Amino acid sequence: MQIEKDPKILAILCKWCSYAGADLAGTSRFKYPANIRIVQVPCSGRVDPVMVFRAFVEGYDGVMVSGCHPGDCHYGTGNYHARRRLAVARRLLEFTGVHPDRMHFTWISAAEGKKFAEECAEFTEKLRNLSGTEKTLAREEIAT
Amino acid sequence: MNEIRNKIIELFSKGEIDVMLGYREDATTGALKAAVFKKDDTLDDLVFDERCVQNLVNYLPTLTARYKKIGIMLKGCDGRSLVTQLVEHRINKNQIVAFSIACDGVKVGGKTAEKCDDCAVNISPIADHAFGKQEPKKVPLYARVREIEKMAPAERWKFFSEYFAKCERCYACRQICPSCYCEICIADQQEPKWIEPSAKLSANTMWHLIRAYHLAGRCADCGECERVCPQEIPMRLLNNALEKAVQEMFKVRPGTVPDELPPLVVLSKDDPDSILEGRNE
Repeated sequence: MQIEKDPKILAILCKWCSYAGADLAGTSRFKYPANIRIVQVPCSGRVDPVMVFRAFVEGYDGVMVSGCHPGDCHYGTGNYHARRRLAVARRLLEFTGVHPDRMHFTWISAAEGKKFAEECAEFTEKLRNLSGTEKTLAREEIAT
Repeated sequence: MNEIRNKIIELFSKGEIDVMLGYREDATTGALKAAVFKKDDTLDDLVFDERCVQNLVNYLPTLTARYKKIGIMLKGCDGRSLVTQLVEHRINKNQIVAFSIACDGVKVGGKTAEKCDDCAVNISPIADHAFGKQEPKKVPLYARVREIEKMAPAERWKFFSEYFAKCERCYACRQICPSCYCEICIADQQEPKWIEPSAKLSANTMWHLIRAYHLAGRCADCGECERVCPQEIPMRLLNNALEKAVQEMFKVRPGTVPDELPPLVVLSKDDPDSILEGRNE
């Protein structure tokens, strides 16, 4: 029997909006794929791109980072910093060979449970389509 | 050259500089080395030619702690490097007397250094005293980066992973870099340990990604990291790719505008969300 390997996704969510959004998705009983592992951070400004790099190196298939919408940050400006950092980190990862579809950076508010469920489903689907392409930065030592 | 020597002697006698940071030929190897000249030293062995590869800015933090006024010889790339150091308040401009010297490219191992092929800033953006004919060059920027960007993701990873696998983790790139000055480098940090210290592909990849990311918007492209690398890992490619990205997204070229904070330190509410979607070409 062939076991289809599901993509493993790391979602780094801010405490005030996106995590609450994920919570709302749960309490509202929206269905979304179970391949998501959530890490809660106080603010998307806390997200050091090192976390994203490490997730890929540890073998995650995709990384999703989400925070409050621009202007709605609980701490005022955390997500503006996050936007610049993640944009640069994404360009670096793309340049070294990570497929652009493996990264998903978005804004989800506490009221957007539905959006969280949809984005998760969409991202998982994207990664499933990628399964044929070579996985990069993976933890297993790739013979060179 | 005599013009430079006379100026230095003049500044020494006026007391405007305490020491002069320049280049001197190493008697045994014939290579040029950084040298500190004091007031009564002979300046006969002060050299500036195409062998002056080294970026002298790296010595400034040590010297500024010891002396009040320091003269320094700067090529274009070193000048950019100095700007990034001044912007980050690592060095106080009052302590520096910048000698900007026109540079026609430096040679490493008999060949013109790769960084000089795509150098558009052969004059220092900071100059207290300028020597030689100084004209900015016009060159196609980031040609190598564009080549890599044309490849498919898997090809790119193949290209880089072959280099990363060779890395010995000697951290020479970190030690030589004027902009890598954290007291405890993230690579040495034990708790949390983001980067494993062993020299294997996954850990090396982490190191090179983080090194490049931490220099995003700060790297002045002096090319020292690549020069000192025993395994010839093309680190300038990563640095340049991010320089290009930062320039496209935030319209800043590090080291060219004095008094502007690095783009990843400041924030802008006007950045478009589209930058999170990656490269649009």
